[in-house]
Amino acid sequence: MSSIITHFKFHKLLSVYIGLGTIWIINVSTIFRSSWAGDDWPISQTPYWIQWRYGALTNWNIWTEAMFWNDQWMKGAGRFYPLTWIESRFAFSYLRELWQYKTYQVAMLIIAGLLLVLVCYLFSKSHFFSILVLASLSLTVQFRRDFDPHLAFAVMLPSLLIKIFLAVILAYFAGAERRKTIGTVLSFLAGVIFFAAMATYEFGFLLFPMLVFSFLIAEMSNDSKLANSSTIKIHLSRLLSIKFLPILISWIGYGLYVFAYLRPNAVAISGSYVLGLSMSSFKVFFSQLIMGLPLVSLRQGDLSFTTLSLVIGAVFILIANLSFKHLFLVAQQKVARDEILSKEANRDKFYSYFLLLFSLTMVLSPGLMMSMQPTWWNRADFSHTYLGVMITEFGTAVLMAYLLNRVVVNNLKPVILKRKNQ
Amino acid sequence: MSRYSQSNKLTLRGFKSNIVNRRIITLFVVILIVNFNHNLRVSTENTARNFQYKSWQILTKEATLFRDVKTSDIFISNNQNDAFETNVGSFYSNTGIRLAYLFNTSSVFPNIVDCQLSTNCKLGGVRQKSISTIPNLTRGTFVPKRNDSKRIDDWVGKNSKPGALANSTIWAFDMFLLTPTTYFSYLAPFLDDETQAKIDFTKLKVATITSNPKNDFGPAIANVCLVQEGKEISQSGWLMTHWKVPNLALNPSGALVRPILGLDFREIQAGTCVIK
Repeated sequence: MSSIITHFKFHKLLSVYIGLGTIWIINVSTIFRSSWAGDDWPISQTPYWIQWRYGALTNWNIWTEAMFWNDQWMKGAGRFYPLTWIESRFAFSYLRELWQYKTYQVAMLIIAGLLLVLVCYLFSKSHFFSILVLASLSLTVQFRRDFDPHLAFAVMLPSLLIKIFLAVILAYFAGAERRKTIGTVLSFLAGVIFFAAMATYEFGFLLFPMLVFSFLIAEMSNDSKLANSSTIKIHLSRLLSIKFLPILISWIGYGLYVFAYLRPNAVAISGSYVLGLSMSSFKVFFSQLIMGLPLVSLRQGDLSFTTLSLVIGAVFILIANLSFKHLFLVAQQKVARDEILSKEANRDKFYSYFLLLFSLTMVLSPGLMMSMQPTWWNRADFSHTYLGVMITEFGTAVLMAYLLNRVVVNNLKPVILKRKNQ
Repeated sequence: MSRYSQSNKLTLRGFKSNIVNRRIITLFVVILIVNFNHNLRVSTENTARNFQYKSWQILTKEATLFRDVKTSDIFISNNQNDAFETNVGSFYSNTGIRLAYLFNTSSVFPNIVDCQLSTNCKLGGVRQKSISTIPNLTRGTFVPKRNDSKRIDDWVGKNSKPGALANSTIWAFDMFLLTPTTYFSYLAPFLDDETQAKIDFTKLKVATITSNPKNDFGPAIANVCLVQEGKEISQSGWLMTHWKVPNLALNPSGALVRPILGLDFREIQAGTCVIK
């Protein structure tokens, strides 16, 4: 899809972005109603512990505290995620009031969502598609009653996703860059940020394919010949090029450090971090696949509405109607233009395939991880999930937007054809 | 009429005729509202501890309960929990009093569950056991000492030196919800008798914090009704009341009782009395 901005008023698109962006922000802002939750209760006490033990809350003392816990987990469980210790200790030390911390939580989740929208725009070069992703996020992001990554756990998941998406964006520009040196530098930056993501939550290790697909989409959009004759061999040669090497090194380096060095030397690996496989793994895996679908976490009583919900609901109806009206108008004009020019959306063909793989990586990896953890075999089901569910939600939003895009465009085509025949 | 506006009219008609797309919008809005309501509900559900959290802040920032507590004193509490705000760090930050530690009872007496009064089990060595537990502290949790062993200059290190806590008072302290709207806290010094774990009952102080405009009942400890010592409205508008043990008291049934000096730590049970 080529840019629609050249044909349609920019303000229309902007108003849709603002409208659905507002809905996304309002939806996420429900976090403000929550209190400290989960691990945030004890971690929020960090500054007071430091004051008591060391007499003063200094940056060095906060750092020491973070490094102490990182050291414990590295040597004990063979885990390496120092950035979570550092970020959470500093965040709780300086954002001591509940509203301050909740603002941080809300802001990080909003940013993560907007970065996904940006990523999807880069891949598709379609505002229509990226707007649908933005809209879908407000449906798939849903708070959980057990382990919830939105309301608790020191913003670890939004922080991970922000870094992953930044790395994905840089990997995209590295792939799109024709000059090798600049491409390699961008890839190096992507590798550094990706390493930071894995060092925030090891889960990032499983999200490596997202960078692969991002790089390949960019490479192919650069080279129309390549797009038409894409084979696995060509993809592999691209991935082994100097431009992708820093990302690859970052991934392999982290893997070797954790799995070949830390884990074998760990002295107290708890049951939660032991990997295995059984028939229960399949049950867990499939139960987690759908956890990002809208309303999947709905429970009894969730359909009783508060006054606030009804008021905000009315606002949503207004904003959504106006936004979609504009969006479909723009989409219809775009489809009409493509039909009249008989323009085949070449780009669609090759980006769609990798976009689907990109979103499936996010949808499938949390379930895959949990299915291999014996501790989840008798716990995970349609109502019990873990922190990675936020990644599934984001992936599901992309999938939903992809399907919506297909459905809406196909619905618009007959209208256009009818007009052409008249 | 310009070509552009004509085209716009046509496309708008096209849009309106597209029932499926309209259904998509309707479905989107319905799911959106239900999901928003769900998120709002889940967010609000985790506010159950807000009353306790705020009460702790009022207790440690505004109450006079800790007037006689000195630096390096030790608290022993049944409901202390490092997983929440009830920890020595928060206490220091709010009161300015740097305790040697705020212990959970089970840290000092690991077998207290099996050592009940009814079984004639003796509980003793409060001071010795408390002080000997201090060097094992690692930021409030009991994990194997590693790098921390090098840092004897910190508060735990200083208090672990021989004789450092010789003049410290050991206090029995607790805080919990007496009713959903009343937060209850007591403080009493342990008697300096290592053969038994008894508190000086006559020096016991209690503070209650309630979100109600007035107290509906008075507190009792070990079947002794406490008398009001003073009350004030906290900065957040909640009623904070201080209570003490009278020389001649009533029990919850209204009978006269004379409070004993030494009360076994395990006998400290909170109750309620009618306010006359």
